[in-house]
Amino acid sequence: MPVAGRRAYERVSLWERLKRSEHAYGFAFVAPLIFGLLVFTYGPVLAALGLSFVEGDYISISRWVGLGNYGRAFRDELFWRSLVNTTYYVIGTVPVGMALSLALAIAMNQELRGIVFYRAIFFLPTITSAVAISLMWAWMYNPEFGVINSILKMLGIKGPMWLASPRWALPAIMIMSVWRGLGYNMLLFLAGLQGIPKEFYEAAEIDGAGAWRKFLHVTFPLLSPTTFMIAILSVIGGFQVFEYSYVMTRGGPLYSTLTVVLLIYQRAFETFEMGYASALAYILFFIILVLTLIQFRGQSRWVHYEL
Amino acid sequence: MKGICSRRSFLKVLGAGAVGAIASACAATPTPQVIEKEVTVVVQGTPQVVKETVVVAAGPSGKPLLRFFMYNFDPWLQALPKIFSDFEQEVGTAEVKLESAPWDQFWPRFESQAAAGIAPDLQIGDPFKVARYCDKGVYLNIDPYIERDGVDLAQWYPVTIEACRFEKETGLMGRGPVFGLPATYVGTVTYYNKDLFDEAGVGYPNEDWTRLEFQDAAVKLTKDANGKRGDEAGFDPENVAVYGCSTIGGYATAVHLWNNGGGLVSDDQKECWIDKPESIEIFQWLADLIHKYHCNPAPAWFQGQPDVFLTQKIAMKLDGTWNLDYYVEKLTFNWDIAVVPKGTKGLPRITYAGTNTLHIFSGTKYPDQSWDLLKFMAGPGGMKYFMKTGTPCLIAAAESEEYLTGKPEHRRVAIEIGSYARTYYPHLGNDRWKEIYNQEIQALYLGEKSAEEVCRTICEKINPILKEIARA
Repeated sequence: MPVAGRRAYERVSLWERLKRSEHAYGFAFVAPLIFGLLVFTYGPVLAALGLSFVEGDYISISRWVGLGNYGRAFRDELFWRSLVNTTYYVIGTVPVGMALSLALAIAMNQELRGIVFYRAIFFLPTITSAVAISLMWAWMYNPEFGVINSILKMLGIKGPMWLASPRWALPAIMIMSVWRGLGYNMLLFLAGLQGIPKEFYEAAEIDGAGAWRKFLHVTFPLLSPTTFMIAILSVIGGFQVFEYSYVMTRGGPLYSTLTVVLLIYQRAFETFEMGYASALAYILFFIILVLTLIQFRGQSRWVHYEL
Repeated sequence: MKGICSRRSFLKVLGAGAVGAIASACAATPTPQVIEKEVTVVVQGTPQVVKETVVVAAGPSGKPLLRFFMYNFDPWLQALPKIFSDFEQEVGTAEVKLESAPWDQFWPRFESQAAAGIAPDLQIGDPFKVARYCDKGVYLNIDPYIERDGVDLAQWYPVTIEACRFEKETGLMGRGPVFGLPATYVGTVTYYNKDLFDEAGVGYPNEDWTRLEFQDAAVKLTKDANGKRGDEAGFDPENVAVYGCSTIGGYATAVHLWNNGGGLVSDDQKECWIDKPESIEIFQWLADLIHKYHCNPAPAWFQGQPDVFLTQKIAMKLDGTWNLDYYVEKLTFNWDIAVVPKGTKGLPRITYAGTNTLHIFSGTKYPDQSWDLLKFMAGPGGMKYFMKTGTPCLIAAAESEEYLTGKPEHRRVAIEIGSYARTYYPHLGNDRWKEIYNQEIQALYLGEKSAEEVCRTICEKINPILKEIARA
């Protein structure tokens, strides 16, 4: 037997429902954002997919090459070089950056006078322009006049050529990147640390646990969702690194700091090979997607949402 | 509880604001006019005169409104409005609006606008991109206008007109039809600090200087932190306070190569010349200036430093005249400019010159008015202001007392290079092989490989690309 109320509800059109409810207002308010997202984000993303199958530039899209651009990428020595550099960058910066951020967050989680000021100090590099920071570090890395080699000289060590050395240029950028990312990750870890109930620590203390055991068996497991999120974001961000080598080295010396996104930028906006640049962008997208999926798959082994 | 602003009144205010904005936006735009007239239309990159009914966008005075596109470069951004104002008063066939963008956004934006057919009517060119836009039919071939108005191209320096010519069949610049007119040009000269020369007791550079005399002077000018000169016993190359020279870099290196009979690629861009013996000799010499004579700093030394000529850490350098007026304003010590060292084995002296060219977009609705503006800018009307931003390409303007008066003493050197300079490989596809050259050559300056090894590697990589981009 039909329910009277339900039948009456079904007769009302969608438009009427929208008019009566507050949904209409909701849709109206989010419409500009949705429109912008569709037109200015998803539109170009789809356009890039289409472009990746053609050979051409801005002015003339010349011909359909199918998977030709993807094939070219796998034969391109520079693409492999940039991928190796980027992977090296991610491996070198993500674990170290996370470990240091966690240590910093634990230090900043103390109830000390002026602690908010210290937190702000460490967060400052994150909100400073990457270009300004890159220029400042380029000066610090100057082999003869830079502050880093001057300190090393005082200690009796001859510093390397840093950004001018194919061996040291990428590590130099990695050091700067870790320094810059500390504040942001520290803030996330700090939020995670403050979300751990004090009762767990009290219980652990009653059981006779010391500082290290409390960290190992309480802090670290309960912080694992935050750690997991930071790991995901850092790997994605690491594979997208661009501005440091763009400003400081332009990919040199001898391609030692050429990253995948820098190569995409050079192909898209310097040699105007839009089709090839789009293909490279999609290859990078799939690499990041696969790595993220692997991380999600692996999370059940070490991420604990409760003790 | 009632809020301070009801939904109805909020919407009223919002509506009134929107109506006001639309009204004011409409008021600023004059009504387009429909007229029948003789117009020049562009057929396959070449203008042709036809009669047709056209709808013209108009400026506040009702005249066509031309858009000129320029990247952010302050001296030009200050000069252009003055030139446009004079043009509107003296020629008066159109009004001109200046549009600008930062350098790194300028070209992508121009490319997208050109692709959409809405690029500004005129724009500044870039020496290494002109070939690309001529080839793609983006820049207007102005030969018919030059012929119609009997414009004498000899009134500009030859190298600056070469920078506007492009031949589609070969993909080479410097020949074929003219696709724009020149405004200012810059070239490579020797800058030197007279005070540091006097202190070292070294004679100033002159017309007879050879490359080896340049090297001898550079060694004597080099001084370590203890005051020992580069040619003295006990000189400490690890602790140099003043370097004798800075002569390594894109254009400076090319100048040395040309003056030794070498080069990067052949003039028709079909063959790599980097591994020619004349070129290898120069590359090894440049590496020796760093690692053997210690009179030229390694590229890393410059990182993060302000202008080292300005801070007196370099006694002389081969550099572009784009710094000339900046140095006149900033330098507090005695300095001057001279020609680059002369050619070896009796070769005539060659230096580099790059031109700021002006171009008309082939899709413009106003080719006639754009031509009027182009001619005005490249003529005496534009040069009056352009000469404050660089060396004018118009010979009469460059030779004028107004330009030649003032510092440095041998300012004339900057204009004389227009007679014997050449361009820096501006041909179609130049970016593809230069990218490889610029990266690979670093191994030489880092002291990791010999000149011969580096040069052969570069040519092995460049030659297939040259084959790929070669046309006729």
